[in-house]
Amino acid sequence: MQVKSFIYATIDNRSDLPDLAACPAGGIDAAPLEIVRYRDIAAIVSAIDVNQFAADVPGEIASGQQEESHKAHLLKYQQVNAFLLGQTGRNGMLPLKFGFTASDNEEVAKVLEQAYVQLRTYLDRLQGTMELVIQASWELPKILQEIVKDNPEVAGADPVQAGRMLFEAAEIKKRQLVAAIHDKLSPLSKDYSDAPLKADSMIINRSYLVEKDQEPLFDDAVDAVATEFEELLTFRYIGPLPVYSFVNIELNQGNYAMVDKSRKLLQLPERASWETIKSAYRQLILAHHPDRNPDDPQAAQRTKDAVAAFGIVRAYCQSLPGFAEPDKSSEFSFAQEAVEQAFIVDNKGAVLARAKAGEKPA
Amino acid sequence: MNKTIGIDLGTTNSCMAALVGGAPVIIPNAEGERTTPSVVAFMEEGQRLVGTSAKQQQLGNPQGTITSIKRFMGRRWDEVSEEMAIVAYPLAKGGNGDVKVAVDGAQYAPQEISAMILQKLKADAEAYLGESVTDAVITVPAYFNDAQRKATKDAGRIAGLTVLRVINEPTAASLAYGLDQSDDQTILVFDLGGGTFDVSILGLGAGLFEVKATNGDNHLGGDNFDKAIVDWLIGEFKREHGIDLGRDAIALLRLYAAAEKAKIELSTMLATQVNLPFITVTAAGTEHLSIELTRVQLNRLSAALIDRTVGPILQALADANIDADGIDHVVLVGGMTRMPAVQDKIRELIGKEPHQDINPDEVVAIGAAIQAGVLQGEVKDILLLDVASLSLGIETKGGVFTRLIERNTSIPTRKTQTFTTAGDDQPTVEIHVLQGESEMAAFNKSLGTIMLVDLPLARRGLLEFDVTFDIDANGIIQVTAEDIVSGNEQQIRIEGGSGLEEDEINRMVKRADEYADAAHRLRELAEVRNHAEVLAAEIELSLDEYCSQIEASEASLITERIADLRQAMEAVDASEIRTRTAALVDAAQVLRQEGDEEESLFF
Repeated sequence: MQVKSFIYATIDNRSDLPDLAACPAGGIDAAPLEIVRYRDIAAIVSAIDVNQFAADVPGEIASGQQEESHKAHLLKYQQVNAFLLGQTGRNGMLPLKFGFTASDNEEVAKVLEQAYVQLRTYLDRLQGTMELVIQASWELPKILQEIVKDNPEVAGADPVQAGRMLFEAAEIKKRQLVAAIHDKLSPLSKDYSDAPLKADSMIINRSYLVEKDQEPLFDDAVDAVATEFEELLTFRYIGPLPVYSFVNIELNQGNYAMVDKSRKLLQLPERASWETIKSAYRQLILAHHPDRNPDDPQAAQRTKDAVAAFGIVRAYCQSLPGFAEPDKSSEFSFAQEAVEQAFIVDNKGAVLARAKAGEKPA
Repeated sequence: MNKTIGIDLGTTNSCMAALVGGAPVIIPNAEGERTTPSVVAFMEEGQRLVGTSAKQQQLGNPQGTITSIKRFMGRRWDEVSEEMAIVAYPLAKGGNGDVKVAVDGAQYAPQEISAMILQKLKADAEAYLGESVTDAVITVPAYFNDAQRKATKDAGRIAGLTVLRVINEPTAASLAYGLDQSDDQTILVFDLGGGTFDVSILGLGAGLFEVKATNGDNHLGGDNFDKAIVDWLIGEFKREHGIDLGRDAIALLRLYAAAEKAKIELSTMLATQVNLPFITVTAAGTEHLSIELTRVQLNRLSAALIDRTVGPILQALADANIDADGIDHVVLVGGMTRMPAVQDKIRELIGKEPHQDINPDEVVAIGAAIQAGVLQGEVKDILLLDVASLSLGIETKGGVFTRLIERNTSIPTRKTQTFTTAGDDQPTVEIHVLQGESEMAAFNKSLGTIMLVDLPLARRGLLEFDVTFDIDANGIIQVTAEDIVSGNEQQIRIEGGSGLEEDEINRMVKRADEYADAAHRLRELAEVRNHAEVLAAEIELSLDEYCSQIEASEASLITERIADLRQAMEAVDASEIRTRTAALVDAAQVLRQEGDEEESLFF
């Protein structure tokens, strides 16, 4: 049995902390919930047996039994986060992606330290908010009948033509409906995010980011929308949820091989300030850009490589505590120990998705 | 080397510039104007007008006058319902779902109409510069997608121009300002033109203009403001007179022209009177429209439109990872930025006084000319590193849009993705390529599908293909696929996207050439006729005066040749007119000798 710390969420540590004892039946596998603090933020964690948990990470092949336990774990993860959402009130609460573990609580504190800037920024931005989900579905045949009623010429057209016209009309209708729903709800929300449609009949599956005290107003607006389109659509209204759809923080341990290769491509020494890095990148672009080398077919490729390398080095540097400091002269280390200790955090996860798929550090 | 010019091919007006002695200058058109209305008019007998003359005759020829064609470039029929409501000329749906302009008994692609504008600009630039112009840098809104960029490039080709580069308008504007290059600077460019809104944030240092983020609204421009005013005027008139002017095409055109004029006037004045006498005729007689529009009222009408610029600005700031305080300079582009309420909104959001030293109508063309200089090696201390303004991706299971290249990635860029078959013995793999920011594929712009066909029979997952998505410095996308097992590489056409086929473009190039030839012949004919007419009249006059002093046979020969010439002038053969003119001049030599004794009469 190998025990690790599973992180559910990070919360604001500046005022009253939630009463974890009040959480029914603790965390995953009934392990007690704990708090790990760093400066004014904190993580909610519980101990977990990793061997059992390995199959929970998406992408791995799971047996039927494992799938059951995966479902149970996911449910527990959601319950804990829902509980935290209720407890934190006006304060910030940030659910982390399901499946993030660190070797122990000390390591969790280190994650908080490394990712402090990003976590703090997200916490401030999402303070006092919740997620509310609207799903709407229609009955396509009913809609098509209505379209035919409104456009009798469709019936006369040849079948292929008519099919296309119907499809196009339905698509337009769908957009109109989605826009009508959105126009009513978006003024009461701060942001929105679309999730994949779960069935052919579903036309919208959208999460709204709503201030906690706006919830009653948003409820009323959803009621009004549901009444207005009662004839055409079936609605599902889910929430309040922690703001899952509005946080996209992925934490990855630094991938030394990739960072090192990029650093060397930019011809940087093992320690460099942000100014030095930027200037080295500019020099490379100025030297290799195809506009400067119209007769060199390889110039475009060299430019593309430099752009990619800079993206990786930038993501690495942004993850280091020194980056946000106004004193730009601080130097970043590209030594193996430094890179492997760092947690590269990128709010898009774009660079990191590649870091994950690429060579993993041994 | 031939001259390369920079062209701002605008929705409402176009403008061109070139480097002369290393400095960018605006090239005036043949009429002497610094900007050319982007208007093409189809007249009777196949005549075409471009520019101010086309704009001026719009009222008498609403169906044959093509305006705001840029709004239709590279767009599909089902994307342009908002645009269709604004224009007065008829549109048709093309075979592949593209938009066509139906005029003059024919259908024209928007690329062809744009090419007509470019042809005029090219000809005028050649006349002004005194050398031939074959290459150009053309600007497009940053938010133009792949189809719209390709369409712009194709328009250039049809007009006989090699388009060296398509660059983003806000980026070009920042080049024009050059600004103080000693320190690192961050620039925000706010570009509100006739049809589109763009915002870009650039970092500038060591001569490198690096675009950090760009955003915008493809459906927001001056035309929308005009429409808001027109709708209001219609409402007011209806309230007073009970007549709906919206149903009268000519009245509508007059309203649009008056609305644009009022809008411009209200940038400097606090109130203006919209006067349209004889706006309509009813059983009760003629009606006149006379309504006062104040700046306060205009601001009220346009508040919602101006607010639509806020979201893109905030998003661009967020994408560039910068606060409003971090912006050092604000550059304004497009005529709409003259509107005080627009400037107030920028001051409110950014807290900086915008730069206004370069005319916002000309700044983009100047930047394009500078980029042309960079590409020709004439400008050495500047380099532009632009970004892809829209995310590029593919449709994956459940209609989800999976991004392969995120928006605001520096270009040129390239990304390779491995695909495999999902079923046993699957003969084809289909990859749907899209551009946009929605999480759902259905809400993004489809660029078409890639088909990998004739695959060998194999168990699922065994065949692997590397598909490479490449965005060049123009922001134009190219896709290649490599069969990993065999190493066979093939260039893939993206099927089903909008845009012109290669042979269609060639046909249009030919059509444009023919028209240019015909137009040239017509101009030549007019000149020859003109010259012949003046000459014949003068010779006739002096014959009257001197006929007593020459032989009768000489006099009758002259009379006969004048008649011959006048007969030829009725026809369209320029060389025949020239021959007969020469013959007349020859016969009239005797008059010249007589006349010389007093004064020179002609020649």
